[in-house]
Amino acid sequence: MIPKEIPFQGSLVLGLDCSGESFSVAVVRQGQALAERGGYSPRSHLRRLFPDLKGCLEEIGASFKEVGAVAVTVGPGSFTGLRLGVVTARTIAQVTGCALVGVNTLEALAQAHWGCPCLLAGLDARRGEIFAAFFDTSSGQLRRLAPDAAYTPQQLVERAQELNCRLAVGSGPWRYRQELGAVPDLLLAPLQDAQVRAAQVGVLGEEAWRAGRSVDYLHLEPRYLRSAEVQLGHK
Amino acid sequence: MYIAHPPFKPRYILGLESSCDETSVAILADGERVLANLISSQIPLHSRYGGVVPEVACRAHLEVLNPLLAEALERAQIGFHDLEAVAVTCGPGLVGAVLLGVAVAKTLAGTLDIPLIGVNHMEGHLFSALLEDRCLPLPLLCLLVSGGHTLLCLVERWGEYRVLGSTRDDAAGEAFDKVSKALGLGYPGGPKIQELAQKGDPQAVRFSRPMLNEGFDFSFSGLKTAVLLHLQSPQRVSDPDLCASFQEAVVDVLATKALRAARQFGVKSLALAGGVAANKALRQRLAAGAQRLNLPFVCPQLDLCTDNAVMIAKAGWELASRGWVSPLTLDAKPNLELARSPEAGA
Repeated sequence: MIPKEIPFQGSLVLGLDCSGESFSVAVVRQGQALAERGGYSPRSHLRRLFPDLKGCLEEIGASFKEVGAVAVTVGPGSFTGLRLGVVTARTIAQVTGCALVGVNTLEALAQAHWGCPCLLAGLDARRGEIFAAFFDTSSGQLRRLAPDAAYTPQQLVERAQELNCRLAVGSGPWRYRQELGAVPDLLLAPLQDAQVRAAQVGVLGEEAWRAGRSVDYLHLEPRYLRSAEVQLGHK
Repeated sequence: MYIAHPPFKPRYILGLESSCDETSVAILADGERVLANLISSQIPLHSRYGGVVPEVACRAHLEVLNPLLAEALERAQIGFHDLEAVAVTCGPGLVGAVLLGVAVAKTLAGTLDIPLIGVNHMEGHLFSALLEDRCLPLPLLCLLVSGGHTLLCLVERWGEYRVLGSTRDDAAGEAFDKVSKALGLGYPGGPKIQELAQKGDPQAVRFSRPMLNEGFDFSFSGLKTAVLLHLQSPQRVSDPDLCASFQEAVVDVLATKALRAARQFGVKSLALAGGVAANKALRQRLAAGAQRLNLPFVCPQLDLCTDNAVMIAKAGWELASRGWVSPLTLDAKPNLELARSPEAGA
C-alpha cells in the first residue's frame, strides 16, 4: 500500500475536452490515466465539467494542489464547448499557478490510432462541413500530412483519395460515412472511438509541458477555424 | 439552483457578470464597500450590427474574463485566497455568454473551496437598490427596466419576489433600441434618444399609451410601430420632437403603472433599476410620484444602472447571508425567471 504521505507533488496533469457533443476529463501521470470521467452530454457540459474534474481528483485522493499542469483541447471543435474548456483551464492555471497547455483536438483524436500511414481525423463542424486534418502515425510519432481545415464532404472525399487515406476517425467521418464510402480501402473507426478522450489530451499535454511548451493563462486561445461573421451568415 | 447552507457574511465576495454585452468583475467588502468594479463593454463591437451578436459577444467575453479577474484583485489589493465567496449571473441572458461567467465562478469556488452563489441577473438589478439604502422598508415595489426585460416586481421579503406584470412583447429598452435604429442613431438607443429628446417637445406628437389603465402588463411593440409609421407620414416632426414624444409615452406608461401598483399594494418603498433606469425623465417622474405618495424612492447611481458585477456581488452577499448557496453543478439558464419559492431555500 502506498503511504499517504507520498504526494503527487505537482506531477498530475489534468486533461479536459469539451470540443464536441461528448465531454471528458481525466487525471494523467507519466503517460498513464489515473482517472477519467465524461460521456455523451450535448446539453450538460457546463453542469458536469467541473464536478467531474473534482471527482477525478478525489477518486485518487488528490487535490488541485498536486496538479502540475492542465491541458485542454483548443480546437477545432464546437465554439461554445471550446470556450468552456479554455476558460475553465485558464482559470485553474490562474488560481493555482499550474502550467497550462493547449492541445489540438484533431491530434488528440489521431493519437489514439498508431500504425497508420494516412489517417483522417475529423469533427462534425455543422453547416455541412467537417473540420479535419490528415496524419501519418506509422512511425509511432504523430506526423502531420495536412493542416486543420474546414472541408465539405465532397472536398474531404477528394483529399482522402489523393492522400490514399486508410483510416478515418471522429464525429465528422462518422456523420458523412456514406460519402466517405467512395474512398477505396478506407476503414472507418467505430462510433465509440469517434470522441476525443481527455486521457489522450492529458498525455499529449504532459509531453508538451515536459518539453517546455506551456503557455501563460492570458495567451491560451481557442482555434475557431471560422470567423464569427461566417458563423452568423453576415458574410 | 440552491442548496441548504448555514447563513454567512463573506468578508470579500467576488461578482461576475457576462450575460449580455458587458463583461464585469467586481469585489465587494462586507457587502457594501466596492473595492473593484471593472466593466469591459462590447458596445463598439456590436454597434456595426445594430444589436448584440451572440457569437461576437461570447468571443469577446472569453478574451477579457481572466485579465479582468487579475485586475480586480489588484485593484482591491487582495489575493485569490482572501476571497470568501463568489457570485455569478446564471441567467437570464445569452446562453453561451452566461456559461463563461458560470464556468469561471465554479472553477474559482472549486479550486479555492469557497461557496458559489448563482444570481438571477434581474435580481442583481433589484439588489443594486440596496447599495443606495440598506434599510429600505418592505414591502418594496421595484420597476425593473432593461433592454431585455420590463418587470413590475413586489418584494415582500428579500429573496422572494412576486412579478405583478411584465411586457407582452418588446421590453422598454428594446423599443428605445429599435426606434434609435430606425432614426439611424445607432446602438444602444437609450442614451441617444434621451440626448435628442432633451432638445425636443414631448407634446409634439401624442402617441397612444398602450394598456395604460389595464392591469400591470406592458406592451411597447405597438408604440414602436406607431413611431415607425410616423416616420413615413407627411406630418413628420423633427427628430428631437419625435424622440421627446416617444420617450414621454414610454415614461408615462412605466411610471403610471408603477405608481398605481404602489398604491394598490400599499408598499412602503419604491425602487427603479435596470439599464433604462439611467433615463433621467423616468427617474424624475418616479421620484416625483414617490414623493406624492410619501414613499422613500431609490435608484442606483448612473454607472450601476447598466449591467455590472457589483450588483451581482451585492445580491450574492445578501443571498449568502440568508443561507442561499449554489452547488458546483450550477447551470446557465438563458430563460431564468425572477421568482423563487420560499421553501427552496435553507
